[in-house]
Amino acid sequence: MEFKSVVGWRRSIRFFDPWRGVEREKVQCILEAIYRAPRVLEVDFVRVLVVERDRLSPEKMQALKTPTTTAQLDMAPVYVFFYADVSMLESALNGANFRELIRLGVLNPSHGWNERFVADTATPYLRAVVDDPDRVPLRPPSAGEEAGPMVSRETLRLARTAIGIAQEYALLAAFDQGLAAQLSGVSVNAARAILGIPDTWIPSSPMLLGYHGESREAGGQRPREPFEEDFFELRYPHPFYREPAVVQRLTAAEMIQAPAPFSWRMNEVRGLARKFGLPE
Amino acid sequence: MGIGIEEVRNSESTRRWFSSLLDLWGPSAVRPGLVETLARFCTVVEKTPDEIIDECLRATTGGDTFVLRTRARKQFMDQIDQFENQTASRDEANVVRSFFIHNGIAMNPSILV
Repeated sequence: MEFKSVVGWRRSIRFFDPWRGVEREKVQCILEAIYRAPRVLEVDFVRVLVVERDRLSPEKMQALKTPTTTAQLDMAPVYVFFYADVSMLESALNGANFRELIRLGVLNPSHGWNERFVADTATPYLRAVVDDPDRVPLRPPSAGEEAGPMVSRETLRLARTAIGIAQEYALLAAFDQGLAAQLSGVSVNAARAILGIPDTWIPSSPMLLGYHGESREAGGQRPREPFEEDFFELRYPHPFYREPAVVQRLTAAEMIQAPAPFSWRMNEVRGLARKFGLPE
Repeated sequence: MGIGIEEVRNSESTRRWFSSLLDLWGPSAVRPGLVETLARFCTVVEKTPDEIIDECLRATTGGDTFVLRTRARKQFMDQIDQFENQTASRDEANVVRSFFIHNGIAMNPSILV
């Protein structure tokens, strides 16, 4: 698919075809996309774990579910779990990632990079992030479980940013291959136990993956606030001028699509609820 | 303890449920038998509709917003599953789930395939 069309067709899909699995090569393609996503401070934070629904026991499936995500976890045949390993920031303190990028001509003197800058400025900055006294638990305490290890708030922020970038690459790669996807909720404590997740990995929403159980339109493109309320130029609150000809061109390229609600959407939702035995 | 049909029909939470069904789906959604099914569930759990909702939603200090009590919701979700097994009817259990959902207590069951 063309990039603009992928962006336009992405929706949070909540009805998947439960009978149709996802080809392994499509899953790998998603992982290859994530592998190439921008890295925050060149730190290798992101960890991704793929699970096929049907390889989980009923007990494990049950443990993963939350009261509001039961149906979509039942429907989606593949779950892609995203984590960030905060210990990788510590591993990056030797500056090896920066030096490698200098050797490859990615970080260059034209932009102020050299060995001395890595040693005197870049790696001490990473050290300051790791050692920052403003510290938070890696995960909050929950029933029967102690809080996770303490990390600096800035480490957590960087790690979560890295996950967010990875999730977005994954979503777009999924829709590019004609798949349906949604970032959903699961019981993170159950997931940690079931998947054998190390203590230094922080979780985020997994991506549920499969084929559309609802129409690709899924009721239409989600409404957004007026463009001018979100985008500015020169100085806030001066809005970025939205050129109508560009809107027209992006509409032709399917990036901008008919907005929700579609007149037939509620009939579709009711039909799907009845098909899968869900409440109305 | 039996819960009377009229008591169920006239309770605030039932009226809220019906009003929300009407808004979302139109008149066909408020079909015969809904009150009777809810009354059967109320009899099983020995609580009125309003008592059920009050157990799940705790009013905040100001009284204008509510906090979901997840443990209570989980307990009722299990009781709805039992109700589904007893009645051997997903449709009847979904009527009860609909009552909860349209009163602001989100839940969904496993899909039937």
